[in-house]
Amino acid sequence: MIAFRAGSANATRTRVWWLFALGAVALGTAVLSLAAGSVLLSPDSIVRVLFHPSASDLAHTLVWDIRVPRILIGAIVGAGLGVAGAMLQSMFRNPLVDPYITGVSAGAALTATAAIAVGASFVLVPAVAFAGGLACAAAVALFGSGDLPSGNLRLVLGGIALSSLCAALVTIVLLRSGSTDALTILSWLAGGISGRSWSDFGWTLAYLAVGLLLTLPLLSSLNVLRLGVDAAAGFGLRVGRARLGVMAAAALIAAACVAVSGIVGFVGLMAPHGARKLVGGDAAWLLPASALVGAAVVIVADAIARSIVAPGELPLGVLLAFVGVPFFLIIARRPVSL
Amino acid sequence: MSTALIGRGLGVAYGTRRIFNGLDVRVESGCLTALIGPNGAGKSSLLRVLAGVQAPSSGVVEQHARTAFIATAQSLPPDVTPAQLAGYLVALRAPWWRLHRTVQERSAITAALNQTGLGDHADDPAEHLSTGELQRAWIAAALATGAGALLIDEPTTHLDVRYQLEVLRVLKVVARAGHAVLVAIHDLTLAARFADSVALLAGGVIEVGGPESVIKPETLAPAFGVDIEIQHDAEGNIICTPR
Repeated sequence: MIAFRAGSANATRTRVWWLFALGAVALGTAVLSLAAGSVLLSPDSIVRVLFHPSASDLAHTLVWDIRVPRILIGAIVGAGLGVAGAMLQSMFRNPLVDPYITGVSAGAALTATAAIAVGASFVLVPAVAFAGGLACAAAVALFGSGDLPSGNLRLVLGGIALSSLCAALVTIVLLRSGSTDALTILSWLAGGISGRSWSDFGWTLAYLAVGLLLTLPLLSSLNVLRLGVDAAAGFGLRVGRARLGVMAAAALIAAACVAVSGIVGFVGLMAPHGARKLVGGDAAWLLPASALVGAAVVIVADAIARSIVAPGELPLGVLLAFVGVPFFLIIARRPVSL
Repeated sequence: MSTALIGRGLGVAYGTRRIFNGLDVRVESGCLTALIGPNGAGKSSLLRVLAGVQAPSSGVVEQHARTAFIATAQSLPPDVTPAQLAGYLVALRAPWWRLHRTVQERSAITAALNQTGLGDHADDPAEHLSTGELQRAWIAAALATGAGALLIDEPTTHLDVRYQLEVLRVLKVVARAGHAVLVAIHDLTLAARFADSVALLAGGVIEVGGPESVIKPETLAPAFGVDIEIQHDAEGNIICTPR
């Protein structure tokens, strides 16, 4: 009798194929979304611009200076929110959890809003957002601590309550800031990646990279936390330290996303669910799969957001709420395993 | 026989409610010890304190062997297989950058699964396993991690008679292989039949001895508050019947 048989080898092969397939889908949506926007580009012109990056015409400017950085930012925001959501869901063993529900996004938005209102450099905004996101996540985790179903309920309720408080504080900041600042903050809060540049992509990627690197040593802890706090502690995991590490990494990733794109809700909720159905709950597979699903979702949503009311744009956060809220309600009604 | 765990002067209190205080406990390797006692006596608390999962209100625990604690009716996510469970727990002690298990780790997992009779179910997801198989999956995982002491809270809860016997037989084999096994259990007849020693925790006091010396009417009646008749079957096994 042997334990590691064809079954596990086949499962691994299947997961690898799913990762390739999801990568192809994300790449495909990225290429297709180059055409979408107030100015529609033909496949011919996209191919020409992509393979002749030194040309200088409208299509070149649209693709290389506006749409490529925007799509890349969409991809990393979606990937980041997907990873953060998967981490938080595994850690809290709660399918309703994401950076938005746990108050990470709201806390990050509050401190980022305050930073923008006082004129802080945009490069510093993610760091400030991280502090706010982590503080809110820690407060919510403390409120919802415990492994019982009531703990999970407390967690969701605590997240909603704290998010509401943060929203109220954001309103106070908005009311006390000048009208120009208020408009900037409001459009940023609505969620979106319109007008983002290569430099925005650069610093967001830097913050995300740090968050993702912090995630790597946490993979085995995440898999054990998914078994329950009692099991984790019973087999020697320092649960408090592991949970703090997961929350810090998730908060940093989510904060970087919030800083560049405002509050883009529900991606961190939806992406891990889709990914889990394809590759299972093992963190080593779930996190990359959630990243790819999240990237594809945000790229598609952003392409729709900038096309559906062209030449205007719909805020990305608003568009995703139309999809995300029904999704949330369906999950809340169904028993979903982690 | 070596001592895997020693608790000195252990106390547990929840708020103003003191569960026990000043308990001295030794858990021996190669021995299956049944922890019995009425509800609320602190059996689960004692296991958790000995495992290091819960800090005692007073006293200290010396762990001379790697310890694994399995809570009552410990569930598993439905997609996790026994082999994965063992792999996850083994990975906790491996360097984080090594995503794959070494040959030695895989051998340990295979051996543990075979020892607990789960070799043929190693790759079955938890949703396809019976409650008894789930319990054995946790025991296998504990063995795969190299735990020298297994502390298990009510391993026979929710199991039918067949699986109760199956799990306790596995634990007996595990103890015979040199592990210290301490199980909290409510079925006094099963405790008497399988345990090498019995620890009765009641009223903040622990009494430890062989099954015959602890499982007797004059010790059980004051502990549980009911009269318990002790009989022996043809093979000399103790049968406890509450009156």
